[in-house]
Amino acid sequence: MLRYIIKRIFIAFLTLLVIATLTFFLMKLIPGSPFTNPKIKLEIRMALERQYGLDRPILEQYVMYLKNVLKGDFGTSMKYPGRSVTQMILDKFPHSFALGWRATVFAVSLGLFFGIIAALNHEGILDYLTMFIAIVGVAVPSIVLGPLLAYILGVNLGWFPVAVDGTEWSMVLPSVTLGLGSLATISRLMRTTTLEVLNQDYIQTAKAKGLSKTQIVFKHVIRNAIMPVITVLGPLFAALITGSIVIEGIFAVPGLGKYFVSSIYEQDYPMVMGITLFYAVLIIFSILLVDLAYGFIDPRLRVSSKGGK
Amino acid sequence: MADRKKLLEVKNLEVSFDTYAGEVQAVRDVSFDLYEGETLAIVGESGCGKSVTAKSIMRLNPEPPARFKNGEILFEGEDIIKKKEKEMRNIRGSKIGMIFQDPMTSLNPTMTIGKQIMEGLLKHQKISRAEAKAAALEMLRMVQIPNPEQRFGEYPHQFSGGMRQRAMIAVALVCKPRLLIADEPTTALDVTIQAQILELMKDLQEKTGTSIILITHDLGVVAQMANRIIVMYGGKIVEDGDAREIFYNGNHPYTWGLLQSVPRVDIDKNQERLASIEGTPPDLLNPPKGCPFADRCQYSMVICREQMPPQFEVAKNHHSACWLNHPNAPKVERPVAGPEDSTSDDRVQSNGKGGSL
Amino acid sequence: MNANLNIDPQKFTLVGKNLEAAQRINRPSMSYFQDAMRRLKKNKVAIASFWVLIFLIVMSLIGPVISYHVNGHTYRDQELVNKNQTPIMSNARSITMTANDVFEYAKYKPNFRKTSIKFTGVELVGTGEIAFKVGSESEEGWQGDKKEYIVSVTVEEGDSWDTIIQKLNARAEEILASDPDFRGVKFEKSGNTLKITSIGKTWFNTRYWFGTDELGRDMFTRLWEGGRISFLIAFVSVFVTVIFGVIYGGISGYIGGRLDDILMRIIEILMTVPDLIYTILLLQVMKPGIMPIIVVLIATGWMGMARLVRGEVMRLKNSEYVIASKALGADSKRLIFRHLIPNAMGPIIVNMTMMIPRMIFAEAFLSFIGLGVQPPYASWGVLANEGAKIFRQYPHELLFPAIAISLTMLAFNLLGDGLRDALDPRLRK
Repeated sequence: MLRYIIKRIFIAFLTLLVIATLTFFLMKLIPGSPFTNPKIKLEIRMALERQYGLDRPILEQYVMYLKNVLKGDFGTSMKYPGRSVTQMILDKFPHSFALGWRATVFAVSLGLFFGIIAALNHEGILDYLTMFIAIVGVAVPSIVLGPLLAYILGVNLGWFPVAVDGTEWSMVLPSVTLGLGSLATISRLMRTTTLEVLNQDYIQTAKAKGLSKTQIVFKHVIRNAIMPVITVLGPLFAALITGSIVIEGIFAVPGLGKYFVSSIYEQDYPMVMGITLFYAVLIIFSILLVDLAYGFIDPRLRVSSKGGK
Repeated sequence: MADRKKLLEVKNLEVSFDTYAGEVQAVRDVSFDLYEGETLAIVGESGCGKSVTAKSIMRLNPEPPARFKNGEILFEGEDIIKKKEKEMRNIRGSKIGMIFQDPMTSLNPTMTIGKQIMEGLLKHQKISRAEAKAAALEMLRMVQIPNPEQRFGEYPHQFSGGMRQRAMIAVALVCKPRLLIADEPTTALDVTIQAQILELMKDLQEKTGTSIILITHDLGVVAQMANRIIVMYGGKIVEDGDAREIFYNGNHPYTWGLLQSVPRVDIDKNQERLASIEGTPPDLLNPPKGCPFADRCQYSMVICREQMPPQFEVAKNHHSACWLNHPNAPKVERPVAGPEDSTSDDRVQSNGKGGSL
Repeated sequence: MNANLNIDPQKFTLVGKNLEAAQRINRPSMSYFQDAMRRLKKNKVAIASFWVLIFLIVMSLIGPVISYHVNGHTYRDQELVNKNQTPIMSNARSITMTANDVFEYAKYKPNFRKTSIKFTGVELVGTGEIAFKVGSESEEGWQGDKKEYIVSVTVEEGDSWDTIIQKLNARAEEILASDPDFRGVKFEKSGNTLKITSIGKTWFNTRYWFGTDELGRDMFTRLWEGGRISFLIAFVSVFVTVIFGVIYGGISGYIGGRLDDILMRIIEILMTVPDLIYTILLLQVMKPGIMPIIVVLIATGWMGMARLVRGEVMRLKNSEYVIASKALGADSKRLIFRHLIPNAMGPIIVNMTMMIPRMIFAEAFLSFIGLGVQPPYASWGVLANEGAKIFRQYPHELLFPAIAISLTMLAFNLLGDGLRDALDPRLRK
């Protein structure tokens, strides 16, 4: 167990190191320095470059970069020299997070529920219905679904506001749109694992004990079926982050994703790299958390087999 | 023997499965009785209907696609087939227990052994958790698992194969059922462990008076445990009788085939050939109208393929569904060497066929 | 036991075994692939998906050619005058309220071209002028001309709604009488709703079958050109990914041992890095375009395939029939080609089929945030992006690429599911 934890943490840090390195060197590949702006006079430019250490050898810059990152300093914006990347992240991320956690709750709770219902109702109406909803989530990308829902439910029927305005109600549409893809994945996977579990011998044993269907589902099926689903939660979180980039644009959420896109347009490289690195940390960290949680939940990992006779 | 009570009466049981391909007649007119305290073995190849029969007693076959076409199953005098699901739940685990073939997959990998044993108790009896735990620990001791307090909180993957099967037995017997159905309980275990488990079961039976139905394809297992034997083939019972009778005076050609395929230590190695029965079991989608074994039987006659043979009474409490027992049938020698035969190269003439009707 | 003794003694003649009957396998034996194909064909959903995909691919190939020959369109010709046309055209004029001293309302509901507008929950509050502008100079592409008309009436003290409606309709009639080009406008009120509709002809847009976009480019052509690019990107990426994956994974799995350990460690670390990161980083360095997208998709996809192939090879390497073949003297090449690869194909094919929709989605996503295919090239992602911006006024511009993307992804997913079920040897009956 301990080995497992240590291994996971180690890989997480290694990955972040790889990403930070990639980020740094790729940035260096882009021709010119942040100060190659013709408006800046040559002497001033050289002074700035010296100040930012851009005239030092690459390896030294690399080390400096890593040190800064560990301190939490991701650099400053290129287009807007006053802004620090870290500051922008701190400002804008909370909005994205508000969207993200709602989407997660939506996707996970409904996803598990649909999956179980579908499996228990195998090839019945509920199965087809829930799987249909899931398929829609898979096939219709958020790019399409977002404006569609915004128009139909927002403009036409007027049930929801189309832009986030601080009310809980206005968060519904963007959260649902963001979460639908994940809902689809979770419910499909949960359905598969539940079906597999239902076919297992120990379910027959449970039945032979005289347990009722409800008891069997809650005490035996769910615990076992949920395991594989937990393992996908990590990458799922990555998908939610990716998705929010698009959703924020559609629903006018003043979050990090929207800012990310505009930074890309403006070619504000330090900002782009900084936010990318931040996203990476977020994703790696959540994957790590999920892995650790899984280690605690699965007794086969928690307690090693001793195999006494 | 006659004054022992009947625990279970199966009468003319017919069970079919409705599949995409059609109706598979898995159990075709099976009848037998089970007395208190005895061990009844049901032997046969895979697909002969023995598992379905056993599961029918507990109504564990999923209905649909399983369907009771005909017959009764009287347990303690009441017809199981007529019972509602709720009533069945009260019977399963408390009055009838069952253990399955593969103990690794038959136990929930994410639940402690102790909890799995307690589950049945808490469901069927109004006792406190503390009392249930005590009973479960007692059960672990009874199935001879060392260190029960520690093992109580462990998971299946921490047990060895033999111990897991013991745990399964504990799960099945914790509510002290009157009948234990064991579906191939030793097939997945090492030979040495097999013997231990069978010993355990016999031991427990003596202590608790539970009747056992033992399903297996392994006659070696049967020899150790069974009081009576039922031989099934193609969904039908082809022979039944006391264990000793079947072994020494097996009557049906299929039984001979089974007995021949058991390797024996006491026969000259040069004489012995590992015999198997050629051919494969019949397709139960379109079962033959005559004796199901006819196509694989070297003694089969014209009548065998035309009509189902009735159950001939070969000896007291010994029946065989084989036309060879008809007075008009030719006399046939039993090819199986019994224990009274020593190493010799001539076949012993046993009493031929021709029982009374 | 009662058995009739009256059975014909003849029946007791010995016959013996009939092993042929006993061993007859009642189902015809089929090869693995035949059986898989049979099962796939039974899966109606998968078959339907297959045909849908064939349709989409064929249309992508011939669509632009057709529209070029019929209407002379290419994907980049712009005719600004004809911008934002819809597949179903109407020359009804748009209606805008220009003056209102008279009533208040709860909601204003226009249709997307404002040729029919509704006011709900209306209430008379005063007197004065009510006026509507019918027609707009900027909508020449729809109306056919640049004319604008004003329908204006004065509401007096004591006028009821009926009177007002009457006056408005009368005024409209007058205008129509004097100028037939006006085509007319109708005012009606039912309950608390005021509805105003302008009259015109509707007809199918024969010049621009799917309408036009903001720059007057033909949607039909652009849609299918987009299809070409989207499919091209997806197929090329998948193809190269599979090649890389099979080589890397095949070698790793077949040789095993230390080499396998190292190769798999590398992949493990590379895989922990989220796809998004690779994508953004790579696209910062390479300017966005079709080639870079393909590179990105390959970079993020090959690892999964390599792992899969390696897993399959390892599993098969130790399976009994391979060992049996070796025992019979087969050499490596024979082993690889006749045994390993055909049996590994199953999961590889399934994986390929599932990769394609992910790539189509990835391309659409990238195009949406501006890192994908660049204008004036069209890909479905680009079209979706452009359509999304103007969705509220001209929904068709998003609808067509949206349906195309969704249909493609759905079809590939369902086909992939079907293939997975069909090729799973455990389900073989």
